[in-house]
Amino acid sequence: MTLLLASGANPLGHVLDQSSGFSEKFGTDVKLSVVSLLVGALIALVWLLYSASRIRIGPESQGHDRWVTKGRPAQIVEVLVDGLYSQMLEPVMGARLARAWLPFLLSLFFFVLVLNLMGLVPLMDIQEIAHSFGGHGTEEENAAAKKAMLWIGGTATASLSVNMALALWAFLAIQWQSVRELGVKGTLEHLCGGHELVANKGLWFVVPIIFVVEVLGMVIKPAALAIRLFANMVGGHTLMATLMMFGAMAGSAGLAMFAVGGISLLAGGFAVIITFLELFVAFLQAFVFMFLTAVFISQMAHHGEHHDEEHGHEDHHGSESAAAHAPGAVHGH
Amino acid sequence: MKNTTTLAIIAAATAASSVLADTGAAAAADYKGMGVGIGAGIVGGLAVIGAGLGIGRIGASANESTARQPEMGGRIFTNMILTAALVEGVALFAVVVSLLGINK
Repeated sequence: MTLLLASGANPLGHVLDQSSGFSEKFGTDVKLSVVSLLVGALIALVWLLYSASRIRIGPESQGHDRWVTKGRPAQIVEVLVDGLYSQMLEPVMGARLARAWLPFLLSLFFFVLVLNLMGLVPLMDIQEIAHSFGGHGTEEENAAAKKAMLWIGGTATASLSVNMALALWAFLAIQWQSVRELGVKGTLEHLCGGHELVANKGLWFVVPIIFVVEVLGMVIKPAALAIRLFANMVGGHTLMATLMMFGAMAGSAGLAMFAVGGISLLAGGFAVIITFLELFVAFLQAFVFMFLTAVFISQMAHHGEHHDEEHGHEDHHGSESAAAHAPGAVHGH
Repeated sequence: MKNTTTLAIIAAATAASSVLADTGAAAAADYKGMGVGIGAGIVGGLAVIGAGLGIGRIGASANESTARQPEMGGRIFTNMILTAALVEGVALFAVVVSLLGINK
């Protein structure tokens, strides 16, 4: 049976994207990340739709039970969503923006989470083991058969293209929020440093500098989101692959069996601990991606202006309601 | 966290081995990748120093704040984890740069 990561194989070979067995079926180069994206999207969709159907408030006939969420997947989603909304998103974005952007941000979070977690399942190795039971002969045959036998596996978010696509959605969301709330003129003012800076003609010499930096930042911030996720996934998986490679490397270097066994145990034990760390990093990086997108979106909203408008409206309402309440008229907003 | 440390070691080892393996052929062209290899190793090492310093400060201030006000411990811990993830992300940018340099 072929040793899986043995004989000096590059650990990055298990981490970086490669063509799947579907490439021959469809004629075009179908990478493993594409397959993972589709399967991950399906899993996220099924999970979230199931949870939505369970979190729904039941009929009155159940009495107090109608408020209880049943089913573990639904309860996980409920805890995550409630924690994220009330502890993280609402304090940062404010209730109005958080509620408006909640579907997008949560879709981002759960999609990235499912992709990260799929990367922790050793699907590529399972397929290699299943295939090696068929009994292939030489190394060339194995290398050629490897391309045909991997149907799914790897981490989609360990591919820079996938992360850039997710960051593109975040970029579009930020621009849409900016144009929707501030208007095109307001967006340009924001890029020049804000309304107060542009209105003050004495400080206009600093506007070109700020404009360049802000436009660069507009592109670099989502790119940084993508690279952060990419580097965390690639780093973690390369570390795990290297650790699991130590035993096989010792074996192929011709050490005695007890040495190989000891090295395998130590390295494998450490790899188990690193897998727990990677589980935590999967959740954390999905959350950081979503949270930073939320922060960037909230930066593109009205801040101080809203206070003045609200005070104005409240005074207006105060005087208006005093006049309108007397005859008992109902006035809508 | 151990990610950046070991990734920097791997980057440096890959660069070093790619140089040392070629000295048997004894051709001048084999030293072509040496600058990139040394640069990648230095970049990885500096990234680890930066990450270590940054996250150490975050942990220190989080512990001190929790000691001052233990009832805020949960909130402070959450903020510490979030900030540590951001600082580690910045350090991993440098590791990505060094990996790109090696693989070019």
